[in-house]
Amino acid sequence: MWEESRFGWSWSSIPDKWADWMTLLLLAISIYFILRRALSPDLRIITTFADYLMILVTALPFATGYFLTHGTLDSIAFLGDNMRLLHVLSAELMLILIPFTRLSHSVLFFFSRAAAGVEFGRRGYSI
Amino acid sequence: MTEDVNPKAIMDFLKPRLGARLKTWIDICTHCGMCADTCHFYLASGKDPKMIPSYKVRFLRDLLKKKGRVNKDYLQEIYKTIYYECNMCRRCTLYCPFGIDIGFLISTLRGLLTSLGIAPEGLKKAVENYKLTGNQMALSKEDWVETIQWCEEEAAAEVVGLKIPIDKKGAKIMYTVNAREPKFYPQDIMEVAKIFTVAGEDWTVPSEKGWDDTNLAMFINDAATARSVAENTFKRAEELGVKQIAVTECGHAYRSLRYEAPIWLGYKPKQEVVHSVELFHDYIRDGRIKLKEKIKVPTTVQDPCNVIRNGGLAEKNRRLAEMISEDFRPMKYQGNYNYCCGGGGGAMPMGGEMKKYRLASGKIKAEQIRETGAKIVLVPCHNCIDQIRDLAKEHKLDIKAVHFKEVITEHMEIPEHMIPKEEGEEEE
Repeated sequence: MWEESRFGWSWSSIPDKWADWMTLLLLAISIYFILRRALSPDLRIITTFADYLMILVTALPFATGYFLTHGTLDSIAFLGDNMRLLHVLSAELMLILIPFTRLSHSVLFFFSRAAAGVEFGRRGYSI
Repeated sequence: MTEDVNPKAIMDFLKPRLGARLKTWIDICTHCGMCADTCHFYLASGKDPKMIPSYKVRFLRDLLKKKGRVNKDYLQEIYKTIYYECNMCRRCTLYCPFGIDIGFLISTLRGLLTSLGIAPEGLKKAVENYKLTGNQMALSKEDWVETIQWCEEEAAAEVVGLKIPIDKKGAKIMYTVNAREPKFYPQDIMEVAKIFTVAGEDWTVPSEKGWDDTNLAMFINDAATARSVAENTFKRAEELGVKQIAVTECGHAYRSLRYEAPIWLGYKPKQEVVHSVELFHDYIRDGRIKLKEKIKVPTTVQDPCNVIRNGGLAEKNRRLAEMISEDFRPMKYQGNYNYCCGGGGGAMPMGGEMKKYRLASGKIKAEQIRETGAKIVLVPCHNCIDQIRDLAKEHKLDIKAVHFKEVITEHMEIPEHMIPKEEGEEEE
């Protein structure tokens, strides 16, 4: 819309190659975290279903984005027709879930660190 | 699910405490497991996943989800976890990517159980004693004052002119002790009297309640009692018009008076709270205490969680140890990141029921000490010193655990005029 307005602004985009590799990197990391959770006896005891779900929800917009640009799953009729829709919806799902789930840690991280920082800071050292 | 526990009582305790901080910490733990390797219970148990700090505080989220509808067995499970598997040393907090205060969460759970009438007998007894007498050992005022006078007599035989001034108005420092000292370790009082006399300190001890600086109510999170215990001490300090309140070599006493009391009281007391480690460090640094000689055998120093990590004295503790030793050997993780000895968070005063757990979890501390090869372990905390002495027996360590005041008294130079004259000379 900015583009169509009198300002004529537009987002600059990163090269497709970069985007591809960064997406693949993120997916690889997601798989690593899922495996780590599933295989480590330490993590298994503290893991809840939601922990897996959060990784999936985070990875999904990236996976659908990759499929969309490369047409990987286009041979499956439904997915081929609706990948754009799935991509947008999955990203929206992630954004909507942030305030209601553990994904909020991306924002609350700073407040939590600050609270701990105050607690030890008044003892005269930083963590 | 049996309804023999009142869910309303549980929710009534939790709800008012669900501030932004607690809620954030309950909600954002992503179960990453980074806290596992930081816990001495986890390491000592051979990496038992049940000992992961994050797992130990699962109850909070669970209780909120169940709206407090749990049974007695569940509460018993909480009890075992929060008392037998955690010293609230907060080492995990320093390593948590979010800085989630597991110690605080455990403490909240302990407060919940206390509000339901569940707490270790040893601590309950001490809390009753505080309520009745103002000190954990239920000593009467007469016993306390007599003990001091007797200590004064004994110590004055070795340092001429030594006085233990009682209720001296306008003194600079009001010295407070752990009630274990008059009861079991009177030599601690004599030693500190000698140090103060040689350093020329202007000090006093109060005769009325408030002289016991310990606060075991803090460990069961009985905030009302904890507040009144701290209040006693500050009231005495106010009456005597002192500038500083000095705390004996005890960890939780120092933390409770210096860092927790302002929260319980709702205001910041005028008097500065100082730990013995700070005083002794400054005396030696400033030359008010001179040493005849340093300790010759290898030494190391323990970092009690409530003096160091939760008290902020890491540097002075280490420097004091270095100043009095010829061969100081730091432990691995010396300072704020040191391991708990396993005797903290009320584990020592809990008595028999805790013994096997604390001896097991202390394995990590025992190994740390063994690695240094030290023969003397300096320990500025009553709980740590008892625990480390027990660990030495249990894990066959060839060490002696001592308070700073003991070795300083042994090694300090006593000025000419304070050295008692021989019998023969006096007759001249």
